[in-house]
Amino acid sequence: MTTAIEQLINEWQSKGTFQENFVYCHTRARGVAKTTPFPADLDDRLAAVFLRQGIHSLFEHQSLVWDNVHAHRGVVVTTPTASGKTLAYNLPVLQQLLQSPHATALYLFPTKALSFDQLNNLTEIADKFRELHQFLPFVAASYDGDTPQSMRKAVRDNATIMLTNPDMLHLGILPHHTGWERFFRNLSFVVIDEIHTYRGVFGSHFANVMRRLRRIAEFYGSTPKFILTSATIANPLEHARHLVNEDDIMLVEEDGAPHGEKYFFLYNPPVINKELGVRSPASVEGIHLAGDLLRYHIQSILFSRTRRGVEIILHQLKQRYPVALREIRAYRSGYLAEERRKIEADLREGQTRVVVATSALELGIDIGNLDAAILVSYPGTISSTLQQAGRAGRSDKPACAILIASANPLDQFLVKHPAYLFGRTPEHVYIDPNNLLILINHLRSACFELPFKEGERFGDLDPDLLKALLSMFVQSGELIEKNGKFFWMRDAYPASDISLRSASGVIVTLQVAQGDRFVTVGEVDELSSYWMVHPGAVYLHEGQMYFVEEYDLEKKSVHLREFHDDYFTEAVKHSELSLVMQEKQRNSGALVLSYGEIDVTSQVVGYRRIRWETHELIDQQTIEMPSQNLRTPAVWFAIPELVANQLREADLWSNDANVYGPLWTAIRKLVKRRDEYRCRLCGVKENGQSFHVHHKIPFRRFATAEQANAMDNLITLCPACHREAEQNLRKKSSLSGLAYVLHGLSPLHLMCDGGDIEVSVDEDSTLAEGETVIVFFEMVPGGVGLAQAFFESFEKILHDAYQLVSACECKDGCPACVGPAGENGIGGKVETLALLRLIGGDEGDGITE
Amino acid sequence: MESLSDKLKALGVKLGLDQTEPSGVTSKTTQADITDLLPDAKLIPTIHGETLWVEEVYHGARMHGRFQVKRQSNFLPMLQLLGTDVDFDLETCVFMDTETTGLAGGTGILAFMVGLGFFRGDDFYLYQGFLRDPTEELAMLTYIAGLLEGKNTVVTYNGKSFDVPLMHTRCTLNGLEKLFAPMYHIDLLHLARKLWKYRLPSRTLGMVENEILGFHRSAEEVPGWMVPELYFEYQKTGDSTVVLPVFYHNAMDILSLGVLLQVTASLLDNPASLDSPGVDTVSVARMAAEQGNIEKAVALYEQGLQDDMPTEVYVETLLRFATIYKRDKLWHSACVLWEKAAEKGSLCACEELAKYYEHTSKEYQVAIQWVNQGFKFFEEMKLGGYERTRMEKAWQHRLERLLDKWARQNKS
Repeated sequence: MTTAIEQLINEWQSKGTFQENFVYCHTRARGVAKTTPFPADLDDRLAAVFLRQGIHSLFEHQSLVWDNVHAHRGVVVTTPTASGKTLAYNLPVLQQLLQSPHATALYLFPTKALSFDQLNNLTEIADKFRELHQFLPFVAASYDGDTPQSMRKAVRDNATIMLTNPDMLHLGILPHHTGWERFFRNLSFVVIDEIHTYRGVFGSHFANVMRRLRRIAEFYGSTPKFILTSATIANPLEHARHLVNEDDIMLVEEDGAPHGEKYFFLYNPPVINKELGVRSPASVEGIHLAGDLLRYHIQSILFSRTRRGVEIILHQLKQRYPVALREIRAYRSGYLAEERRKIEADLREGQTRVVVATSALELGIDIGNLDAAILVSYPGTISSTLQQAGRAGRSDKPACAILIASANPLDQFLVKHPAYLFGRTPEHVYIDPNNLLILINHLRSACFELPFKEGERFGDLDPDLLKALLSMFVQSGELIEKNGKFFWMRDAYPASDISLRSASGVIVTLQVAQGDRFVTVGEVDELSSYWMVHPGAVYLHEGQMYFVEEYDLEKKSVHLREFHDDYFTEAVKHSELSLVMQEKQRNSGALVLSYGEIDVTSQVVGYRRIRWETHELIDQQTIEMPSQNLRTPAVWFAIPELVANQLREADLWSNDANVYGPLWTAIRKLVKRRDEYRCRLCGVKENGQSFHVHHKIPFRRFATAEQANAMDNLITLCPACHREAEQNLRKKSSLSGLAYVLHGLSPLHLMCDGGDIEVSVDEDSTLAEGETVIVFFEMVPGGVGLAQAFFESFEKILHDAYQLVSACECKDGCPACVGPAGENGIGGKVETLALLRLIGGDEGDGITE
Repeated sequence: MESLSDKLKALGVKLGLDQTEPSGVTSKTTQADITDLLPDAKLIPTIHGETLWVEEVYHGARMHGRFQVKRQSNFLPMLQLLGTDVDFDLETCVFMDTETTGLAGGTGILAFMVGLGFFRGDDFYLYQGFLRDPTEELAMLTYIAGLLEGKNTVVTYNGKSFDVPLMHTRCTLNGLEKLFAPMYHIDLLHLARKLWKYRLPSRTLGMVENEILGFHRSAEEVPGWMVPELYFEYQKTGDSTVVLPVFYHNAMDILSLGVLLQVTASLLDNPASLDSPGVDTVSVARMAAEQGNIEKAVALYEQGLQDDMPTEVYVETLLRFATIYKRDKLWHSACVLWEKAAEKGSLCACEELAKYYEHTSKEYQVAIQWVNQGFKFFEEMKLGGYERTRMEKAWQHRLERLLDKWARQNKS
């Protein structure tokens, strides 16, 4: 008997458009559970509780965690969604707490919602335990911003499992550790869930919070064991070790949980405008596919990147498929557990058939499993993609997931290179706990928490640097040094100067009008605020889109209003780069890559408005924001003269002669007359040899001949100057195209947002003695390791860039490859490809497919 | 090669708090040593090193404002009011106040001076420990532990939320038991809040000193907010003269604590004995009533109300006093108080009276009079919006009901 899913897949396959749109299908065969009996040394009372919960044995990975913990090693577990990671860490923790009643455990979750869920889970276990054995084996309590003041002391005095988030640990607990003396003295376990979320700036802060935690644990004489979990990333072990400063951590990645067959489709919407390379919007396709699933009574979840997306999809689905209200529901961040339980129950009973959600649902929160998941556009990282797709899949039935590609370069790249999703992931998580800007305030906090002793370490921070920083604090009067000890000497609470999500600690508050007052909905780092929330910008916050009405530079506040149009904005910056210090160099094919620190002085001078669905440019607006300085690590390379010559000589346009329109002959004459028959570059007068009329902005970049042939776009040039102009333009196009594609693809390897990095073309560059260079730099002062990673992974990224551009169906550049055609200096697919070939992009192996 | 501080500057890092003044350690050799400036200061050896202490004795007969340092006081009513059964003796009390490097709280705040006071016989003994640098902390705490032997009560001003937790943090950081944990804690701020709510614009120790004790500090005084900066200055320059005023400031805090405890006890025992104004007497009455000592409350209310006091306090007191009679159904006495309050324009009093004449004595005509009186006050109060509508409705409703009842009474 075939299941509904298999029937639907048959239906899709029978359509003529199947090949075109369902560009790839990955099938994961059914997997049976790999179980082991409860460990022999598992406390009988605990075993009884789990038996009562219907758990009779452990999955292989759960028992591997147990074994490692009992061998006194730290563990990081990376098995997929819904594989029982929670039990994997709860088991050894509860055993320990049962055997030594004073022992305590710290659970860290990136969000309050997650810790709330896990608290419920632990409470259920505790209740069952008391039912069976008439006593409470542990006291689990959460301690975060929502914990009422009146309850806090009770938690401090009694909790044996404390659930919190990194912000609370950093701000409210560590600087007051004496109030937690009992807890820290007996600290046996630190459980850190979802460590892949601790990356970039947040992760670099987190690692410093861990350095502080370890100092305090050490002060009280405890040596906690670490159990960590992560979604799939390329370097879980390295990241875990880096994050908690501990080498003795083992990786457990073998998934022992059972799963049914799973079909994972990559879906590329049909092209609706070949010339511009425009495809049908992902949301439109998502609604179609959801309709199919509804028809076949397949329970499914649709993920959209924004709340607005969720609303639109919900609205259109309901309009198109008039079914009972309960059958199609939304699920966003901010839902209470009670509402979630309701949705869950309705899903279980089959009342709800489609849930439309934002990525709020992607982290471990348990809403049960579904039959199908549709991802409306790539969620930004491979690990998110796998987590979202992992929502579909039951242990005993086939399931399917569909990723619908948008016009974003990464989406388009991934549907053409499925190995990135289904092979070994290229996504590395990078952090840099030693970023000075981030480090320095944590070091102050650490000094506040406990005096440093001479020779004491701060994680793996270079002891010389530590010493230099401490003596600098002594110089500035923040510390005094006496008998080899450094004492905090300020009436200040340094932890309050740190926001774990911003590098500088200088923040701008985002406020939304509610009635006659403004309510703060979030904050951004001042450094990124100029390009993220300038007046007129569209800003995405927790899935909600806002329009920036006003930026008050003095009060450091931004006024937003909810926004319902379908475009986003991209700041236009003018940047000047200057070299601080080159630290290293290496050869990469014909190129010489340099790594070092640069100063970037930049100013936001305008912004582009771009359509969400198609990435079409609507227009460009002018604004003026103050200029900013950024000291940051960078990687740069110049195009060697040899390559430049080859590029010039390459006859790139031979197959693509332009037809300049019926009036060309007449226009040509007019231009020459206007320019008095002189070359406008060298000034030579036309004499015998006929001069050329040149399009300043290439003809092909215009929609009509009329626009391209506007008088102010045309100048008279002698053949020699014309050749040079065309060549320079060609070089410029190819560099812009390469910068665009490198910027688009880097997040795939560096696991960051596009906004965390910039790739730009710097002409007459001080980085390379006046040559034109392509520069990659980080947007966080001091960086978080991304430039370093780019330096190391350059060939892979270059290879991917070549693959992406050469496989793109567009004619001459589109948003999904080298940038949209029609913009000055950007575009030029052919030129970019030629350049990529010349610098070795077509060699080597990115990820073999 | 760029220097570390240039690098930090380029990243936008701010160093220190005072950016303008390039700080650094200036030579300490030219500065006076603290032991030279404080000839009575002693360096006391402990197993954990030396600790610096200044001791002073204040004779019991010495005047601290309007009061003698040592006075006859009955502490029992205060202890009853606090609900403690501690074996109280003025001689087993320790008066404690700290001077710190900040008010932010947390483990980075240091108590660089700890002042302790004890009554012995007729005299008051003051001990002030001072950290010449933070490495002397363990020695200081060790010495304090010795001084506290045999003491069972600690007396502070705002010590429940500040000084004691801070001292305990310091103990934990130094691996010691929490020094004050076994003691009963009297935080005089909590009593001051109840006693002088009507009288003082704020309940800072300075205010209580001036207004209640009649004590005014000399020119040596420094305001508390300057204290951390003075200590930082001392640490930076080694110049002991800057911290000398802190010794005075702390000494006066402790001495005031010692006197204030006795004055408070006397006031709670018998307000008349201190010649206090009526507002204090009625505050004590209120505390007695809350504690259930009705007899004392009634006596003090009657006594206090003889005195002049602001109308608001007078009305509030009458109403509180009346609730005692109301509870015991002593209607006549209650009505006398309500009428006095109604005379001063109290809407609540009118309501109470209207309720009494309607429900208890069933004299509807009198009740109607009080409702009408209430309406008059109500108009004068100039309430607005929702609150006005709500109250207007309630009073209107009451009036209609009464008119109805009166009509029926007349018929029968």
